Amino acid sequence: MELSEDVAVFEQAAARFAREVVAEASGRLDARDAGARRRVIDGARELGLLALCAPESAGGLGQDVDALCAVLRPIAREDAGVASLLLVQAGGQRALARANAWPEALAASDLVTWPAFGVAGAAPRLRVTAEGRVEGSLELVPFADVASHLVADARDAAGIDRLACLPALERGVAREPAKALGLSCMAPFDLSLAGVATSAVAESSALSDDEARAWLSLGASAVALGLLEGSLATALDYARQRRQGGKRIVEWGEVRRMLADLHRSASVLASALSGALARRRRDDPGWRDDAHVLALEATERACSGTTDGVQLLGGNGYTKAYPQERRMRDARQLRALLGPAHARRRAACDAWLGVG
Amino acid sequence: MPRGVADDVEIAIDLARRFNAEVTAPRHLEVDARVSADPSSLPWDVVRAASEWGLYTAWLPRAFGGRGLSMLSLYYFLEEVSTVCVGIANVVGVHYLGVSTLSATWNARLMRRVFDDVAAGERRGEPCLVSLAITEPAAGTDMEETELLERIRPGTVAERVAGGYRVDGRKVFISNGHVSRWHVVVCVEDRARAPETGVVLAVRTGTPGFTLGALENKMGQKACVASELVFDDCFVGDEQVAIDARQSASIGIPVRAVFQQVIDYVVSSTRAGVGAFGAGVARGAFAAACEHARKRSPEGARLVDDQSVRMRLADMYANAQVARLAWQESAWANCEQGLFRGLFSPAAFGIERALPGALLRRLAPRVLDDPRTTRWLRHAGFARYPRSAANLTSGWGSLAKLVGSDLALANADLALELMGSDGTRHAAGAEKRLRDAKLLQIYEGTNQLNRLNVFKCLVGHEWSDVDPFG
Repeated sequence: MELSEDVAVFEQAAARFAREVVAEASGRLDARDAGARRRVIDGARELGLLALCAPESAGGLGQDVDALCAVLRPIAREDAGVASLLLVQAGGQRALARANAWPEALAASDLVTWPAFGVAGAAPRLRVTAEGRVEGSLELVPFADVASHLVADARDAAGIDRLACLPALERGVAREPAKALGLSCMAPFDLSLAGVATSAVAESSALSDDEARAWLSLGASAVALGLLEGSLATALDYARQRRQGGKRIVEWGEVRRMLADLHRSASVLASALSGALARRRRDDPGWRDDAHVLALEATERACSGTTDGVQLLGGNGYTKAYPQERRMRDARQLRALLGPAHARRRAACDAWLGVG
Repeated sequence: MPRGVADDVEIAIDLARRFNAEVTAPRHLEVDARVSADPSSLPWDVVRAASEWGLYTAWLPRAFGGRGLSMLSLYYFLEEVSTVCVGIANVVGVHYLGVSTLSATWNARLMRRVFDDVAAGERRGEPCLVSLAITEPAAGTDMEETELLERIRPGTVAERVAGGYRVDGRKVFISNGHVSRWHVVVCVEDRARAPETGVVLAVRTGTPGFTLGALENKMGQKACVASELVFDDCFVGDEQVAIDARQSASIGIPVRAVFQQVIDYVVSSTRAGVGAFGAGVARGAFAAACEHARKRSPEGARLVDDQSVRMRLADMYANAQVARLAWQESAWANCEQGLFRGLFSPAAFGIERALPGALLRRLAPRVLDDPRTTRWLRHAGFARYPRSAANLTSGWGSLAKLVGSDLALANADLALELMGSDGTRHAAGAEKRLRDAKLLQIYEGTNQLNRLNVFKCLVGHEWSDVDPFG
């Protein structure tokens, strides 16, 4: 993927962060070690990764989705949970910026959670009362234990959907931890909001903001690509060392085929992501639809590629001594984050046929 | 099919459904969460419950103090329990892996000793399970095929000494290892001539020089622990040698052929069991997906009202049925032509059923401890066993295993995908089913080895110019 000079700097910094911080912490993140998680988040903050897509007017770096994808990809090779946290963070910031609803109290590096993944056009689960307070419940809100703000759609008394930003750690926000399959750094919570005062309310809706959703689809594709590339690296390394039937398993024809399939899948996805980002830069008509289709394809490839990655490592791949079983779980959690796949397939089909 | 087998199948399915209602369903998520949080914890509660339900003796012949249910019915039981939790199904199933391996050596005296211990343990309320220890740190699938075994140097060695063997080495990924009292250990006398020097031993927990090592921290099937077994100058007396080169020589068959036949008997029967696990997982996933699709309306309309969802449910139904048909064919082959054929003949089945239990138990020591019984069993089990039957049972075992496990994973993933974020919650059970299902493609020989075995036994078995493992 060709990167601009600025973006390449971010990519290199992220790759170093992934190698030196994330890789070392990933096992403990998966064991839900709060200290390890805090250190990774602090490290990302120090590098400016939490402020990557925050507007410059709010003290952020004002980067677009190219830089975000360049950052997410190497981090996802080591831990897709950390990459997904950065994706949700950037998405929430992006939604606030597009809706001109950035609260004064929100710093560019503050953690923002944004449970906007879901079915396009679905009714919001929250309500804005006449007094401007938000109530209702949300399920599986990522990292709601550490996010300072929550960005979510809420319907007002007049039936208009709005984008609300509210302090997530306020009294009135009851959190119940939900044990999920993967992306451990995202640690989801079910939230009940009882009349929480909002920091900002905008006349916009994230779920109906197709540009914001397309942006997320591109970021999720980069995370999926990182999962595939990480799987390939682990499997190749293992296949060169592990012996079976008197020879290294990389010398077995079927193992070579599986490795080549993983490589092919990652290469095709990298090309497709590069093309989709180029269309986004040119603002080609249809780039949003392409982004959604890419995310569908990317998450499917990540699911099957990470599963094959476990198989290539045999019994060892099934244990936590290797990172591969985690990648297999993370790929499914990433797929679920984007909303039910059958609905996404139908939306892609409708967009392609020009119906719906 | 002998009269009474169909009754046994009904009994086994009913037993499984009651066990699911009272044990599996209420406990499986809690056990999974508990072992996830503390990988060193042992699921004794599940083992004790299974023992209290009589599941470790239900499929032992009555002569050994068991209930004597037909082995065919075990597969139905395992499928049924797997619809809720394949990890708990394995806590029962893998005991019969050890039992089958010991049975496949046809050492009647040792079988009686070990199985009597199992039955006595159950009566006392002290579960006595049997594990099978084959896999080693540097040899997984290799240990299950003599043609691969001859290309490696296994690490667990049994050195012949006066009165028995001294064993050194490590076994890993041993299912139920930490909760079993007996371990059927497959090792070799000479690392450089592994297939020609195979030894199968029965080692009791507590034997000096034998210790239980680390537990694997696995992605799924948490109810069934995977253990490391460590042998350090561990003496095993001749009375606990299930088979070795000397015993093989006494019946005039090279140990290499005997060793391969023991492995073939075992994997043919247990791979059908993995197929049954897979069919159960596929059924469970299908049922969960159906329930979700009929109840949930994320976009205002019920999921099941979407035609593409109905298509996926039909696919899932087909997957579960195909997985079931595959293991049934394999299990049938085992009963007609494989390890279980002795007790599946109408005459033997009828006699075993007709004799009063007290009489059977009184006769058993005299008959089973008589060396002539073992010699006769081995003559029938090894010397007179046709290669065509071995190919059929082994090939179909592999076929059932790879089909069942692939379709189990496919259905688990389809259900998870359909359920979206709801499915990723631990409490929903769908994500656990996916984690559990993946192991089915790995244990009992990876699906890659099993494909090679299908080729070896069912496709290219008459092609002498092709090396299936080349």
